[in-house]
Parts: sequence; C-alpha cells; structure tokens
Amino acid sequence: MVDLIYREAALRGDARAESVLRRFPKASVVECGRYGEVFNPKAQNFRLQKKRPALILARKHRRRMLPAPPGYGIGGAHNYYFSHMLNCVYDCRYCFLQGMFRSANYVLFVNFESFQRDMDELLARHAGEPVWFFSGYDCDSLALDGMSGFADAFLPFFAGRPRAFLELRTKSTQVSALLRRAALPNVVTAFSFTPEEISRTLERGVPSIAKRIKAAARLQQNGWPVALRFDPLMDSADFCGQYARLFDAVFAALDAGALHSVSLGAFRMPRNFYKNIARLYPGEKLFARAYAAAGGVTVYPPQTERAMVDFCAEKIRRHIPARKFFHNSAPAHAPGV
Amino acid sequence: MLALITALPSEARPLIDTLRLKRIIPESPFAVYRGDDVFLIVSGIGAVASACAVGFLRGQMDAPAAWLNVGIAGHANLAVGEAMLANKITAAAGGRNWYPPRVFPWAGHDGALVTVPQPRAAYAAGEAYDMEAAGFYPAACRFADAELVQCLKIISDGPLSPMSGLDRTKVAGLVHARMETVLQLAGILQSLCAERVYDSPGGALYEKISRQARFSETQKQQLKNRLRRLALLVPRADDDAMTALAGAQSAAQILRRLEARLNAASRDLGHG
Repeated sequence: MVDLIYREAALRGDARAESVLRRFPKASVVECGRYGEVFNPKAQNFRLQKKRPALILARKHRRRMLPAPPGYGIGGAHNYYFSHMLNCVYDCRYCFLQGMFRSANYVLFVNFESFQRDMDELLARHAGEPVWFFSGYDCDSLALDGMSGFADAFLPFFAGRPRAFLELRTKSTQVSALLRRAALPNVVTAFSFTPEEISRTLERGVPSIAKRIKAAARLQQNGWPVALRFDPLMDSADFCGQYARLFDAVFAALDAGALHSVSLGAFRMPRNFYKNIARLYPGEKLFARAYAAAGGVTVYPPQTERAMVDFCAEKIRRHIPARKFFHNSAPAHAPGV
Repeated sequence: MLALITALPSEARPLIDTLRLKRIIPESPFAVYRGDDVFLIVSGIGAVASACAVGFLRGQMDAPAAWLNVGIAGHANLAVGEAMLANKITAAAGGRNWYPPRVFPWAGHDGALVTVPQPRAAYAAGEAYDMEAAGFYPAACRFADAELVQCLKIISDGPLSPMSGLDRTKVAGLVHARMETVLQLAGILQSLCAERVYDSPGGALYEKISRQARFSETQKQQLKNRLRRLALLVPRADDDAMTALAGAQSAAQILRRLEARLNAASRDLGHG
C-alpha cells in the first residue's frame, strides 16, 4: 500500500515508528527534519498525490488538543478535537482536506502519549465534568487503525478515565481492535453515511453502506456505543428518495434505542478550501453547480439547505428521541471524512 | 510536454539521438533541442547554471511541462551504471532539503542526492552526489507541480571508480545504457503532465461568445469558467448557452445571464 515513507530523524529508534516501518518492509524510508518539510511546501498537487500517497511518521509538538468549533458536538459542555493523523485513505470528493492541505500524504503522529498527557491536563482543568475528545477531524479515526495502532493505544487510556469521552469518526469497517476488548461506555464509534448513489459517485474507496452497517451492528451487539453521522448531507435530484432509503436501511439493521446519537449537517466548506478543490477538479459536477456564501463558508442556498435538513430531521426523529439528535452547523470543516 | 535538462553535452547526446531532437535557437546562452512534445537543454555544470537553464527553457515553451533532470552522480554503494531516482535533494551549501513527491510506482533504486558546489572524492554511505539538482529542482517547481519534477541520476563514480577516469565517451555510454529507464520515467511524467493540464482552452463556444463583446482578461476567465460549468450541468450546453444569451449585448450582461442560467440549472439538479 505504501512504498515511500518519510520519517522524522528524531524518530530513529522510536518503538511505534519502528513498528509501523516493519509493516512495510519494501518501502523506501527517507529521513526528514520536521514533517512540514515534506508536507507543507508549495507547488504540491493534492490530486496527483492522491494517486499514491506516501506515509510520513512524525511527532506532533504543539496544539495537539484544540477546542471544537461552536456548533460542533453532541451535547457535551467541553469539546476538543485532535488528529493523530492527517489525511485519509479514502477519496471523497466533497472532503475539505483536499482544500486545506497541499499534500495528500498521510501523516501519522506517533507520540500518542503526548496526546494522552494533554487529555489528562484538560480533564484536570474541567474537574468533575465530562470532557469530549473528537478524533477523526483531519483523518478517518479507524480506516488505518491496523497500521497506526491508534485504538489499541487509546482504548485502555479511556477505560481508566470514565469522565473522558472519545468519539471515533469513521467510514471504515475496521472495528476489530474494539471487538477484541470489553465495550467501553465512554467510547462512541460514529459511522458516517451518505446514500449509496452519492457514495458510489463521490466517495472513492469507501466500504459499501451494507458493510458499514454490518460493522456498526457488530459493535452494538458487543455493547459498544454507536452513533450515526449524516454529515455532509449532499443534494441530488432524488434527495428525498435516496436519504429515505438510507435511513430505512440503517435503522432497520441497528437498534435505534441503543444508538448514542445521530447528527446531520448539510455540505459546507470554508470558501478558500472550496476554491482550492474546485481548481483541482474542474471536471467535477459537484463544483459546477451554484452555491451560496455565508460568512466565508460555501453552502447550499438557504432554502435548499433548510429543505434538506428538515426532511432528514423529520425522518430521523421518528427513530430516536430529540435529546439524541444534533444538527451540526459548525461553519468550519465538515468533519468525519 | 517534457523538459529534459542535463549539465553536460555528453549526458545530452544519447537523449538527443534517441529522441531525434533538433537544435533550436542557434544563438543562445544554452544549447536547446526540440522534438515531438520534448525539449532538452544543456545547462552547463553547477546549481546556478541549472536553475538559469530551467528559467530559460520555460521561456521557450508554450505549454506546461514535466521536468526531468538526467545526469551522472557519484555514490558510495551503488555500482557504476545503476540509475537512481532522487527522493531527497540536499544543497550541501546551506543544507536545505527538498523531497520530490513520487506518485508513480518505481521499482528501481531511489535515494538521497546531495548537490555539492565542487566535485568531491569522499562519498558518505547511502548518498549520491551531483552538482545541479539543488538548483534545478526548486527552479523547476516554480513552473510545475512538484510531482512533475524529478531527478534521475546514473551512477558514474564511487570509492572504487574515481571520477578522474571519466571522459565524454564514458559519460555518454552510461546514459545510453540506462536509456530504457530514462524513457520509462519520461513517459510516466508526460502522462502525469497531460493529466495535470486541467484548464480547458475554452472551446469553440468560448471563442464565439468572446467575440460578441469586449471582455477584460478577468471577464474572459469568468466566461470560460461559466461555460465549463454549464457544460457539466446541462446537456447540449452550447445550444443552452446561446438561448440564454440571446440579445445580450455587453460582457457584463453575458456573464450575468450565464450566472442566472447556472443558478437555474443547479436548482434543477437538486432538492431546492
């Protein structure tokens, strides 16, 4: 899968980095200083790199835990997001990462313990209160879990901290690391869905909806909290039919009463990211249609968005109580891609 | 389009012969050759010369290109005659690093390449040494995506084969012997470059409409962009556009009409 790996020189001998390297014995390993030397230069083309992303093994030195934007969250008072990886194995055409990063290479931050130390500091700051940590903002939480060992490193951490809540946001079916353990009530696996027709057109490499539903059901059956994310909602000529069929399929297979939460949010993207992506894909119909602008964010025209959200909200509320339903209107990134 | 750059005439000769390139621009600071979809420039020795040659050659080309530096290099471990694709370029003077992104499969050798200001006889393990890449690479990245800029080095000397034994015939022979690798890489880069040229030239409809009114350069880009989008959204976009533009006089009016048509087509596509 990966035949070129960049490793920060400071990670020479690092156990986790070495463990990842052993998984790719044929890959060329190139030593770099800080990962930004490889990841950030101008003149890189995200679309070309997406053909064959390299892996960058790095340490995250600062800004590991960031406050979640207002309007993002699932009911908690203290919400933070973090990224143990940058970029995603999937290729979703609506994904903001294409417009945010210059490089499509995967960056894996291997200093998991530093992330955990920061989490402990935040837990201490919010003494006695629940604190939510959202992963899967700048990557898919689980898609490369077999390589990163993220779940194996973080599940024991959360097992010992019942006040700390972790959301794993994913489009993958990589749930084996969770199924190997006893369920944790404070670790929520949130599966993202768009209708089959949209997924086939715009989500390259993503497992089928049926497979994802199956993975979610297995987690539920084993006692793990599962959540659903219909975010972003993508408009289409048969929007109502496509989403109605999706909701029918999902709620028929899962125990709606046991779902942790369901959230949705219409497609939205910071305008500069949108412009970058539209330049990368001038032949893409998604970027040919007209959008509106709201506070520096590219969105559907207000009446379109309202109709989309209202339709889906009404359908979803038939299956779950209002307290478990969240409309995510965070104006910045569309997470969970 | 492919732009080849070599430091020495002897490195260029096998490429010129194989690709049947013809010399162009007789009176110029650099020897420049051209063939079908290929340019070649002989830069002379050194990073500064290489960077200057990149700029000069770009000025001669009327289309974006992929850039490939082909030349000889020293190496401590690789045998003379082996080819190596640079995955890291270091300027020995200053210590700056570059990492040419590789978005294609590569079964051959790859490795670190250090650009030195003077020939050197000391070879550190695992590194190749040349005198141009640190000039060539950042200069070419001014004109192309980094993925389209690569350095392929043919190992010419090492601890057991000192460079004092090299002459023009041997250098040409080394490059000639690796021609298949060079052509394979050149083909990959040309394909990527063809894929990268995303901006449509505009087409016949653009030409027709842009003659109907006086468009500024910005408006020409807007017109091209809106026609491209319309073509993605509606069938028979040419007829559709002409209907929408009937009676429109000024550039601004044409652009407004097209925007309105795009808005309507977008509404037809979706929920709202």
